[in-house]
Amino acid sequence: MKLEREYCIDQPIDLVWDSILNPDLLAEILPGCKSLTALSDNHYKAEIEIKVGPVKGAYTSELTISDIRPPSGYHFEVRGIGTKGHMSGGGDIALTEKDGLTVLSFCAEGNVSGILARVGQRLIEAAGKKLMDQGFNNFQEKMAEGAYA
Amino acid sequence: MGNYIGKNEKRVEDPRFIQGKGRYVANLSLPDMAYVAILRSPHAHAKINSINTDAAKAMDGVIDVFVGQDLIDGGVGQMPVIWQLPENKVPVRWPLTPDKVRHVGDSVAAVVAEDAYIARDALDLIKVDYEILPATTGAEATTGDGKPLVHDEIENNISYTWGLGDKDACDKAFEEADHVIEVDIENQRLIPNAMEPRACAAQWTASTEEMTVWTTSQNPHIIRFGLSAVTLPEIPEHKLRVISPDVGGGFGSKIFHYPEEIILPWVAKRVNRPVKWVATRSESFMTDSQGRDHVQHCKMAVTKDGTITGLHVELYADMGAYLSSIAPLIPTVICITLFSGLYKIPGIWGHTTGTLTNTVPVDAYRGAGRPEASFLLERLVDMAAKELGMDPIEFRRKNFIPKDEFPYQTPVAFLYDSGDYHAMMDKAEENAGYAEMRKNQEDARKEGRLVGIGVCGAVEASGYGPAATVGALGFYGGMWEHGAIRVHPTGRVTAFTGSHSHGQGHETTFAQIIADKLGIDVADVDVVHGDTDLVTQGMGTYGSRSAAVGGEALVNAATEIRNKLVELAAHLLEASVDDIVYDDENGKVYVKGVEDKAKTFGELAFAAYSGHSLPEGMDPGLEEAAYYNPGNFTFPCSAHIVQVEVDKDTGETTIQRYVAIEDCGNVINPMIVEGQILGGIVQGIGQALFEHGIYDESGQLVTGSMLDYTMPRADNLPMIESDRTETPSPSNSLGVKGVGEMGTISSTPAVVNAVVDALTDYDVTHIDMPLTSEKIWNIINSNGG
Repeated sequence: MKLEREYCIDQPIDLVWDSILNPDLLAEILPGCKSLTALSDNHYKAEIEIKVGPVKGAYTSELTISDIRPPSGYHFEVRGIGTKGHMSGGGDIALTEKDGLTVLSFCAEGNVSGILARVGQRLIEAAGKKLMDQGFNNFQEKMAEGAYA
Repeated sequence: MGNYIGKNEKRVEDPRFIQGKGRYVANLSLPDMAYVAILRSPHAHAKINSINTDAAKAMDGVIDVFVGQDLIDGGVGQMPVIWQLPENKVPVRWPLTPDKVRHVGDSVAAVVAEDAYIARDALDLIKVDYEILPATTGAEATTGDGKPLVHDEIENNISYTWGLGDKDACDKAFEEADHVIEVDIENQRLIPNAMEPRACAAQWTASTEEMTVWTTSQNPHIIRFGLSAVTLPEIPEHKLRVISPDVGGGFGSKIFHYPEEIILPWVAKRVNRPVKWVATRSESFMTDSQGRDHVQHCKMAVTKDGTITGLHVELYADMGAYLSSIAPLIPTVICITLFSGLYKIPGIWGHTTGTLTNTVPVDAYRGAGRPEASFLLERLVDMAAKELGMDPIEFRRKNFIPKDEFPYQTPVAFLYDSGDYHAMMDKAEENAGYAEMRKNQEDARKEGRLVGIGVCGAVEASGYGPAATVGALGFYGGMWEHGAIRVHPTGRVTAFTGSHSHGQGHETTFAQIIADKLGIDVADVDVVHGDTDLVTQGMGTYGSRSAAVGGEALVNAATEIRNKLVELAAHLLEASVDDIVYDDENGKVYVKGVEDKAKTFGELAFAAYSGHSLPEGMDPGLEEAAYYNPGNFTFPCSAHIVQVEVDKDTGETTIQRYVAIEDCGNVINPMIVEGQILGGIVQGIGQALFEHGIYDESGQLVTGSMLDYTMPRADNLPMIESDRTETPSPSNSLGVKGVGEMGTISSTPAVVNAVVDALTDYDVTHIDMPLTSEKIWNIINSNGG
């Protein structure tokens, strides 16, 4: 499955950059991420839950961030094992400035196994997009409130 | 002609089915019953480093948890493959895999708990440390260099190769051909989806050391033999009872010996409680053996006058991760033997490579090898007719085996018993109003509408089969059938058959046969099947064999009953046996010319049991059993004509007319026969237009539910105009041929031929199934639409 999204954020790029290295924020924008705990620099433990309709998969995952290019972006890899299968994926987050706004583009590819693959694969992309959109709305609101400043 | 054969007797099964009173395995409830759930692999290919069942075992309500090694240590045997080809490499398969999972759905552990919900919840607490391995998929692609091996000991993932035909004659035909038609076909993976999911239950009686297993099987005796001889040797055959009660559809997928049939009795004995397991639909998708999945490289040699002279097919058949019970048979013996179709083709060569992939095992599914044969042949025939500019019916007729050449020996082993293909096609043409149909098609085309007409003619080998022949070709058993008739002292009859009915209506048709053979009321006959304690032996139901083989066994038993009654009547009436008349209409037995002193069937039955006055040497009682081993297969055939219209804007296909002529020899119950034909046609349409079991590159089954796997529905279908010709089979006394699979075998190519015909203007000669609207839309929009 493939997930590509682009969001316009009414905040300066440096502030956005700092925020997307903040584990709490990352937890917000990664689709299905329930919690994120730093294990070491750029290496996190993530609890990820993917739910499509009645079908749910919960994965204990490791998230690694690499190729860090402040303030323009980084690469991430995620790999998780759950009781109903595994999930793996990777992608890039890129920031650019445009008319004083910050454009965040998110491009990721991933795979799931188990019941989600059998039953929900066709719907995962749509569900993922919805989750991301919700996450970004939360994020923007919190940024506007100065939560990550 | 008797009172019942050939008549539309209403099915005696239906009152209980339509009232929801069927007796299925899932309905079974026994005192103190526990429930089993099975952990299925989410991975297509992975090494099992460890399995931790502690948390599951500790859960409230869980009785025990077992893994593969427990069963192996506890004496279970490997899953057998009972049809093997020469030099067949058979992969090791255990009921629960101990070391490696090889397809999504592979069985890893079994939980037994107080109720079904606890058992399923406990699955989540089992921690399996999987080391995920790269997977291999694709019937032909899996043989490539560097592909992961499904089983380390089987090189290139090739389990077997098998060829049949006259290669020299075939080569010669292609050297001399005016036209060579070539096509590569992918005959897609299908998922059977019987309405009733598989289920199994087991009860151990420790005091008598007897085990009873209930299973949704098409052949309970074969399962009993497999268990006691191979997979569960701790229970000897005489202490093991296997019951397959009402079974809600099989289509081949319930022939095979499945892991749960071993796990359940093994567990029942360990926990000393009755146990039950019922598959979820999701489990059906990933554990029922699936169907088809061939890659076929085909070519046909044709002379310029339209004579087919050669057929050459190189095919790859995906067997999945293991060999299911009779899997090697399907793309080889049962498939290539039908490459002659309805035609005289001097040079035929077919060669199969059976391959392994990280997918659910593939085995027989309605038609089983014959739809794969008829599809490639009927596609090639259509393509040849088009290339030569001949009408597809005219082209077929030119190549038909004439009726005066039967029995006809094909170059691919079979001796066709009887047939009149010209008469059958004439009737199809007449019922369809073919000439008018073509004219209307022209008119529609002028209006820019995409109307297509598809024709198909096909034959199949049914009534499997002569024991020595199937033995020589790789089957471990014989394919005879057993039938027994017990006449009670009041003249009522219980008949026992080794055939199994899972929708076919044997309780009705077999009663019709017996009632006619004995001259009694059909309501006086009860047919018992599906229980190894009640029925002495049986080979079960598959390969459209029940009437031709199982029916014939009952005919033989009935004949023995008649012979005894004639002898008894002669004694009681003080006449010579030669002077005795047995009245087929009413079962009365009398001395020729003295009808008023006749003995009724009931009187004779009572006399046999009273034993007061029997001829010298005759034992009391009235019960006879017979084994019937057929001398040949039977060869039913059909001709279908279909009209479709393709929507130019959406690519959607609508079937506008469906005309089907079947010839299954003599007919016992026309209504049941038509039901079989309609069901078969619909299943074939399902393959042509909708169904596709898809695995992604990592071996994940992405069509693992009804959400993604499209089954045909009533609103996708036209009224099917079904009719028959009747060319009796000389292979059995009833003159019957198989009918269960013929509809499927013909409908798939007929529909595809029609759609390709509709798309004549788009430079398309073949489209791989299913013909989804997306696929058709892309063709229309990439070829000048």
